[in-house]
Amino acid sequence: MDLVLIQILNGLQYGLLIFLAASGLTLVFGILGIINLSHGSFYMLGAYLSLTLTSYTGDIFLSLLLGIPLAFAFGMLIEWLFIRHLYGRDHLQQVLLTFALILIFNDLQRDIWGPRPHSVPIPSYLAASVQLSDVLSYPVYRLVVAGFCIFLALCMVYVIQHTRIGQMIRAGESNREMVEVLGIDSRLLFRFVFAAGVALAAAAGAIASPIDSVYPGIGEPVLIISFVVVVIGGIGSIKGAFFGALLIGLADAFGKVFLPEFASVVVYALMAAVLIASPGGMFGRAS
Amino acid sequence: MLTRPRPLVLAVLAALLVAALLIPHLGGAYAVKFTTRVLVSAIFVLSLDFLIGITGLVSFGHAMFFGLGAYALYFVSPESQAANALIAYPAAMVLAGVGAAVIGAVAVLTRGFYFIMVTLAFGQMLFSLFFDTKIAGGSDGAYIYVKPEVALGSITLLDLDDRNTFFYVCVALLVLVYVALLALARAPFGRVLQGIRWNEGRLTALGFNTYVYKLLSFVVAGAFAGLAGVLYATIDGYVTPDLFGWRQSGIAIMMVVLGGVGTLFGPILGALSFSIVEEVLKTESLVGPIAANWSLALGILLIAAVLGAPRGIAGWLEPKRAAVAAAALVATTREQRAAKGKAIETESLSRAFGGLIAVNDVTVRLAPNRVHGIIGPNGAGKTTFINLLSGALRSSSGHIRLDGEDITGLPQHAIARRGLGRSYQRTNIILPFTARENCLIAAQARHPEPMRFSARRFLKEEQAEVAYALKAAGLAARTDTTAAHLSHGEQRQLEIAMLIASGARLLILDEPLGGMGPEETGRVTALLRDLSADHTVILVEHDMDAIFAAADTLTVLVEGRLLAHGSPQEVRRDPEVRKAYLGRFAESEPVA
Amino acid sequence: MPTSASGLTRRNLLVMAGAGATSLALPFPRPAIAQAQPIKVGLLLPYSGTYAQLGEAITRAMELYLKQHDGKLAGREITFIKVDSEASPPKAAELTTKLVDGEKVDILTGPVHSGVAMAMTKIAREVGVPTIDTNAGANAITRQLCAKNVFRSSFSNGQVGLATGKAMVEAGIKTAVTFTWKYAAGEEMVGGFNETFTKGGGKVLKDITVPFPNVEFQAALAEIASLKPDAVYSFFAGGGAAKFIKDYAAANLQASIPLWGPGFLTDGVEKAVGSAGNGVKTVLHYSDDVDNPENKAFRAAFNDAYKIYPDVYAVQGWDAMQLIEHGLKAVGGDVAKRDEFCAAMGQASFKSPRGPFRLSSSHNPIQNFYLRELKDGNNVLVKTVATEFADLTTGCKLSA
Repeated sequence: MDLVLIQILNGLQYGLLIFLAASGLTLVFGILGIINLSHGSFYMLGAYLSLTLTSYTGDIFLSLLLGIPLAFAFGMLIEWLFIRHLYGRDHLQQVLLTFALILIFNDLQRDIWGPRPHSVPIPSYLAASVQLSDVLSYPVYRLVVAGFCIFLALCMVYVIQHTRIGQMIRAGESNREMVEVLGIDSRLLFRFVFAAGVALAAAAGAIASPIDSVYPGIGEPVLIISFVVVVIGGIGSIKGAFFGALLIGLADAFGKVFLPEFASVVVYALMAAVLIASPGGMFGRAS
Repeated sequence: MLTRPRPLVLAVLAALLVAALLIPHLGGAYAVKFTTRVLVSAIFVLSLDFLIGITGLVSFGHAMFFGLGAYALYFVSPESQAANALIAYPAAMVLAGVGAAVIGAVAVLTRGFYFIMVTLAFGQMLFSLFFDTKIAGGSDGAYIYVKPEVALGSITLLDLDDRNTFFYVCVALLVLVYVALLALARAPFGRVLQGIRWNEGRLTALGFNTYVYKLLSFVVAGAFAGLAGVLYATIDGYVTPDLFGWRQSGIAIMMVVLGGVGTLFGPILGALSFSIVEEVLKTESLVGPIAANWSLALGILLIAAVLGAPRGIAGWLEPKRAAVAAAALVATTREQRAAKGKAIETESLSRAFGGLIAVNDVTVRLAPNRVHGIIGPNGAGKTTFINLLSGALRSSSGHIRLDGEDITGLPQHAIARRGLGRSYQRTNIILPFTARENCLIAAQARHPEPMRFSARRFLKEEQAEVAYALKAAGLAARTDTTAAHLSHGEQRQLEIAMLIASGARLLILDEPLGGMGPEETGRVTALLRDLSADHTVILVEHDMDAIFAAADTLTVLVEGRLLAHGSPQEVRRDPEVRKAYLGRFAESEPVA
Repeated sequence: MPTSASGLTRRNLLVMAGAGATSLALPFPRPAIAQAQPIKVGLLLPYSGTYAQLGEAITRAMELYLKQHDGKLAGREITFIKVDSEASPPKAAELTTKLVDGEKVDILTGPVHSGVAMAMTKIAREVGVPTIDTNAGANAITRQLCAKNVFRSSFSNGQVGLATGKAMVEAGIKTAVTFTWKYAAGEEMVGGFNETFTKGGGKVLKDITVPFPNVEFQAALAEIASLKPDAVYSFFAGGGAAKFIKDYAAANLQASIPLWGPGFLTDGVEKAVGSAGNGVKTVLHYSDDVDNPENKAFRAAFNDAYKIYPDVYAVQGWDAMQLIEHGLKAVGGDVAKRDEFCAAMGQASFKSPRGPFRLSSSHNPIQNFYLRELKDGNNVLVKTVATEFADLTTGCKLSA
C-alpha cells in the first residue's frame, strides 16, 4: 500500500515536471506549426542556468527568478535568429534545423560548463523529509517541485483565459489559421509563444536541477517523453498536455513496479493505444 | 510527378559510379571501407526517401528497420560458419518488411506530426526491447563471428569477408535499389503514392484505398532499409541496439533533406556529402582545432544548408518545372466510351451532429443523365448532404442507393470505385503535377488495386481516357502544364477532368462556378450540360442564374429538410420555396 | 581480381617488414628503418556527450605521461591520434577502422563505453593491432573474447563486483538488495557481487533494475525500504549515480540501510553529491589516498598540469602508457614486431598509482581493491580489501 501511495506521489510529481516541458512544445507546435527537436536543449539550459546562478545567488529560487527571464530572452533570440525562417516550411526542414541546433547547443554546453556532472544544492530550509514509513521518507523539496509546477500551470491558465495574448493562443489552439484571420500580428505572437516555450522548459530544468543533478545530455530523455505527452494529449492542447503528462507520469511510475521487464516500453505502448483509439490524441482538434 | 532523371543528373550519377569503381584501385583499404559505409547509408536513405519524398510519410523511426535487418544477420548466422548471403539478405528484408507491416498497420492510421512521433516511439520501443532483453546479446550488442558468403550449394561464389568483393557487391546493390525504387515510384503504384504525398484527400475521393497504399510503401521502404541494415552488419560483424535509436533515424533524415527530398538520386548525394563533411570535420589533421568542436561546425553547416538551399543538392541539378514535354495523346470518342450516368436515391436520410440535425429525413431520387441542382440558404445542409452521398460522412440513419445498390456506410473510396466522383469548394487537385499527370492518376482509379507495378497493362486505355477527359473539360491545350500554373477556372476544370478520367458516372460538384467570371461561368455551364450526355451531374451552387440555366431538376434544402424537388419551373412556382428562400429572386424573374 | 592484393594484408606486410628489419639489423641495438616515423597511438574516446569527462581524464593522463618522457617511449617518438567516439556503438566500428586503416595507428587505445569496446575489439582481433582497453569493463573482452593482442588497463565489471561482494561479506553484512540499470555493465557487476557474496554466506533478497538511463529511483527506494536488507549494493554512473545517491540520502535510508557499490558509484560525482554521499562505501581498484610514492607523484604532477586531481580513469590512462612503454622497451621500439610487443605487454609488471599491476592470462589486470568511504566530497581509503586480485578467465583460451 505504501508503495502504491509513493508511486502515485512520484508519478504526479514527475508528470507535473514533464508537463512544463511538454506545454512549451505543444504551444510551439500548435501555434507556430514548428516541430522543435531542440526543446530538450532548453531544459538543459535551465538546469545549467540554475547551476551557475545558484552558485552566485546561493538560492535556487533567486536563480529561478533571474533564470526564467534570461531563458525567455534567449528564446526570443533563437526565434529571431533561426526559428522565424521556418514558418510555413515543411516539417522536414524544421526537423533538420532544430536537429542542427541540438548539435550546436551540446557543443556549447561542453565548452562553457564542461563534461562533469554538477549538483545544485537544495536550500537548507527545504532539506527536510516527510516520514512515510518507519524506514522511508519523502523529500520535502520534491513536494515543492510539484507545487511550483502547479503554480506555473495556474499562471498559464490565467494568461490563457484572461489576457489578450491568451486569447490569441486560444484562437491558435483551435485553429492555426484563425490567428491570421483575426489579424493578429503573428510575428510578435510567435516570438512570444516560442520564448514562453523556452522559458517553460528552462523552468522545468531549473526547478528539477537540485534533485536531478546537472550533466550533459540531460535534456534528451525529456525531449522524447515530451513528444509522447504532446501526442497523447493532442497537439496544441495545453489541457491535453496536462492530462497526458500526468498519465505518462503515473504509467511510468507503475510500469516500473508492476512490469519491470518492460518498464521502458510501457509509455510507448500507452501512446500507441491512445492513438489507435483516437488518432488526434485525447484533446486534439479534429484534423 | 517523378520523371526520369535529366541528362545532367545521369551524368553526375555515372561519374560517381565510375569514381566508386575506381576506389579499390586507387584508394587504400580505408577508402574502400569508408566508401562501403557511404554506399550502405545511401541504400538506407534511398529507402527513407521512398517513404518521405514519394509517399510523404515522414518517419522518424526508419532506423528500426535498419536495425532489424542487421540483427537478422545475427539471427541466421551460425556460430562458427559463414551464413549464405543468398539466404541471409532476403531473410533480413523479410524480417524488416514484416516488422514494417506490423508497425505500419498502426502508424499509418495517423498523419503528419503524429506519424512522426509514432514512428519515433516505435523505434525507441524496439531499441528498449533489444537493449533490455537478452534476445540478441543485450545492451552491449552482439558479434557475427564469420561474415556471410554468397554460395550455391557447396560452391562459394563470393566471399564477403574480402572487403573489395563486398565493396563491389554494395555498389551493385545500390545501383539495383536505385533503379528498382525509381521504377516502382514511376509505376502506377508509385504514381498513386506521389499523389498521396500532395493530396491524400483527392486520392481517396477518386477511389483509392490510401491506407493500403501507404502501408505497402511503408513495407517496401522497411524491407530496403533492412537490406541496408544487413549490409551494415556484414561490414564489421557487429550489431548493437543503438542501431534502432532515434539519432540514427535523425541522421538519415538529415541526409535525405540535404540531398533533396523526393528525387531518389538526391539522397544518395546527401549521404555522400554528409559523410564526407562529418569525416573531414572530425579529422584533426585536416581541420585542426575545429575537430574538437566538430558537432558545432556540423550544426552550423546544416543550418546554412537548410536556409540557403531548401531543395537540397538536387535543387541545383534539377530546375523547378512549369511544364513537362510528353508524347501526344489520342482521345477516345464519346461513342467508343458508351458510358451512361448513374442514378442515386436517398431514403429518409439523416445526419445529426450532437443536437444539431444537419440533414433531416431526406428522401429524393436523382435520375441518370441529368444535371441536378441542390440549392438552399447557408446552413441548409447542402454540403452535409453531398458529404453523405459521397461517403465522406456517415449517415445517422436512412439509406443511399446508387443505381439500386445500397451503398450506405461504405467507405468513401469504395463508393468512389462504384462510379461516384466529387469535387470540392476549394479546388482539390495535385498542384505540382501537370494536368495530364493529374488525370493519369485519376484514370488509374479505374483499376485501383495497389499491386500494379507495371504501367503497360492498361496504358492505352488510360491514356485514351486522359485525353478524352482533358478534351471534354476544355483543357486539351494545357495538357502538360503543371496544375499550379493554371488559372483558377482552369484548375476547377481540371478537377472535373479528373473525375471524368476516373470513370465516375455520377459527378457531385461543390460550387464548381465559385470565384469565376461571367465568361468562365458560361463556358463551364455549357461544359456541364454537355457532360450530362454520359454522366449524372449534381451541383451545389450559389449562382442562381447559372444553376437555373444549367439544371434539369432542383432540390431545395432548408434547415436540413427537403423543401421541394422538381424542374426549375416547378421549384420557382412553389409557394413554400418562395416564402422560405427564393423570395425576391423569384419575383424579379418572369415566371415562364 | 584486384582483390588478391588484400591476401597480402597490411599486417603480413608489417610483420614481414619488421622481421626483415630485425634480421638485417640484428647486430645493432635499434633497427633503423622502424625509427623513421613516430609511433602512432590511436585514442578512441568520448569527447562529447555523457562520457566526455572520462575521455578527457584518460587523455590527459596519457598526455601527461608522454610529456614526462619528452614525447618518447623506448626512444621512439609517440603521436596521439584522437577520435571522438561519441560513446556511440553504431559508429564505433567505423571510427575504429578510421584509426586502423585510415590513420594507420600502431597501437589502439580506448574506449569508455562497453558497446564501443565490443565493436573496437572485434576489429582489433581481426586485424591484430595491439589494443589496450582503457576503461570499458565488459567481461567478455577478457573472458570468452580474449585475444593475444587485446589488453586491459582498467578492470572488468565482474572483477569489481567480485571484490565488492568479498568486502561486504567481510564487513559482516548478511542480506543485501542489488539495484542497477538494466544493461550489461550493471548486470555484470551485480553478477560478480552475487557470486562472492552468496559464497561468503550472504543472501541477496532481490535484484532490482531500472531501464538505462532512467533516473527515476523513488519506486525502487520504496521497495528497498520495505525489504529492509542489511545493505544495498548499487551501481550507477555519472549523472545517474549523483542523482541516486542524493535520492537515497533524501529518503533517509542511509542511516538504516548503508549504501555500497563499486567505486564508479561515487567516482567523478563526489563533489556533485556533496554531504548527501556521506557514508557511502565503495570498492575500487584505486583510491585517491593509496599510500605509495607512485600515486603521490602522479597526483602532484597531474594537479600541476591540469589544476585538478586525477581520478581512477586517469590512472587507467596512465597505466595504458606504462604498458605500452614496457612493450616498446622489449622490442627496442620496433612496434612492428607485434607478437613480441604483445607478449611483452602480457608479461608486464610494474608499480602503478593504484599499487602493483600485472596482467592475468586473459590480459585483465591483477590488482588491489580498496574499500573507500565517501566523506564530504572525498573518497577516503578505509582499507585494502583484496590484494593482487584477479578476475575469472571463464571462456578464455589464452594460456599464461
